[in-house]
Amino acid sequence: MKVIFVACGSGVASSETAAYKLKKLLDEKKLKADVKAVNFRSLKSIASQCDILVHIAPNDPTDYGVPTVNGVPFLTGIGLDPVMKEIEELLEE
Amino acid sequence: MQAVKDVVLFILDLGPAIFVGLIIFLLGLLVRAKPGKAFSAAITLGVAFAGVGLVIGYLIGGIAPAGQALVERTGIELTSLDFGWTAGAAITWAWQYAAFMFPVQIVINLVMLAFNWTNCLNVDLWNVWGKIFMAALVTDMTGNVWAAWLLAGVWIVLELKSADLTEKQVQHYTGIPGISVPHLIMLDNIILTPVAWLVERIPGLDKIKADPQALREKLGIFGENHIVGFLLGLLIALIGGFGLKAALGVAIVGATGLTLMPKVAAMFMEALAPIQEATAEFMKARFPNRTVSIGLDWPVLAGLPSLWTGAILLIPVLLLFAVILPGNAVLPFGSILLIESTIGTVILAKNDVVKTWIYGVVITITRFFTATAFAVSITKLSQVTGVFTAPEGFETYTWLGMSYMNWVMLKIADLLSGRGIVVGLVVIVVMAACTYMWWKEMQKREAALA
Repeated sequence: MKVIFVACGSGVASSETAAYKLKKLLDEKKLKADVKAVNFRSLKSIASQCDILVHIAPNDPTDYGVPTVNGVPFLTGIGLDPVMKEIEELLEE
Repeated sequence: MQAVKDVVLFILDLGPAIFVGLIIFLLGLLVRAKPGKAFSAAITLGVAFAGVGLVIGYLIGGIAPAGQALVERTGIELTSLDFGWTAGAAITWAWQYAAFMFPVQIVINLVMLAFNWTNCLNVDLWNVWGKIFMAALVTDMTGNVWAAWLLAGVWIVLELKSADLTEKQVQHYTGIPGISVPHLIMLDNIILTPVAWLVERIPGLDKIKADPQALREKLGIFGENHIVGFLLGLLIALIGGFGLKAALGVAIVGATGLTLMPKVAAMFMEALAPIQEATAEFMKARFPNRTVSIGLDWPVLAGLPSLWTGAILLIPVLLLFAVILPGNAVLPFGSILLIESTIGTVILAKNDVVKTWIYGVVITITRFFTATAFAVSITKLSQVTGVFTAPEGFETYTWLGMSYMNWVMLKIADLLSGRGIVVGLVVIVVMAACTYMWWKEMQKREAALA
């Protein structure tokens, strides 16, 4: 099963909210993935353990070496379809 | 009536893990979650409370002897342990009136939107805890529960206006359209605006070129919880005169405490997520034909490297301030990476790392005094709510990251209760003047980006 990290500043509030929404949408589409909320600060050391990174701060200039998807739509609800499509495609690879 | 009172008292007496869990279960059903999911959320919350209590107990047990040794050996009176924001949030959710803050924030927001007094639809329900924290402390310290709720209302209005006044700036620096950040931390910029006015006039400051991203890549390791917890534990123990073996033991306790704390605290949000989502959907559905800015929690700003680099460069300042600030009682620990001091300031500093750091230093001074002033009440609240037990080795606990706005609200609540008239009036006048300056400056910046 592919691993998706959802990253925010503390790994507590925003990432959990976005992770919940993502899990729900994946369930609806009957897609399976291991979704984890993580802390932004440890990303550099742990990013290699995931297949897809859903990032709450998409303007972060750091290269984490994994496919990165904008996580903000999971919080605002705006522009969700294109990012979900991106994630679906990455899951199918 | 007596029977109702008995039932309520019985439920409150079961402790926060059970009674807040019960509230979460009922709220879950109210937003039409399946009973199984609502039950799971309620138990997750109970686990979060028990988990936070466990980690704090472990952390204090390990750090307290070293902290005491440090105080005895150096004579520096640091009697209050800073346990970071996670423990602050845990105490907050256990306050018996906590749940009422949700409808207060939602109703104020919807009314202000309906009258066009704000453009921000705040879907970040997690940070309701900041207002609960203030209300619980002010109620405890003044006994004036009405003033506490009134001031919570004022605070909510200020947050929404602050979101409006920084909307374009936030969108500009994050590159995310349609959002704003109605976070209490952005209110730091109210009292920092006069400071910024001065700093902008220092000749030569703009010539200092620092690349925050390059610095972050170099220093980033100090921003990781386990590393910074280890080093801090080691430092306190060595200054306390511990041998290397014992000091390494303390260091591991520090690393473990700071690593596990956010992990257990994340379970609070895991439990609240279904309710948060349903409420956000409900609020959005009220204004289908209007372009509002969606108010989000601060991590949307986390991509700005100045924020992290600034906080890492504040670590030595924190240790210095703990020793030299007169009247300070706080030993920084849980908040050692004090991003609370760089989240708002990075916007005021226009993403410049040197200015972020300067404003961070200034606002950090207010945090030491605020955390010292509230320590006794925070400790009392932690015991009353039963989140964790009486301090050992330290006289009090506190949260170093707390905002000066808590102190401002306390002084106004005192005034409303007929005490400290002069102080209260001075606070109001100073805040009004700063707010005016801040408002004008932010309007100017927004207009420049429009």
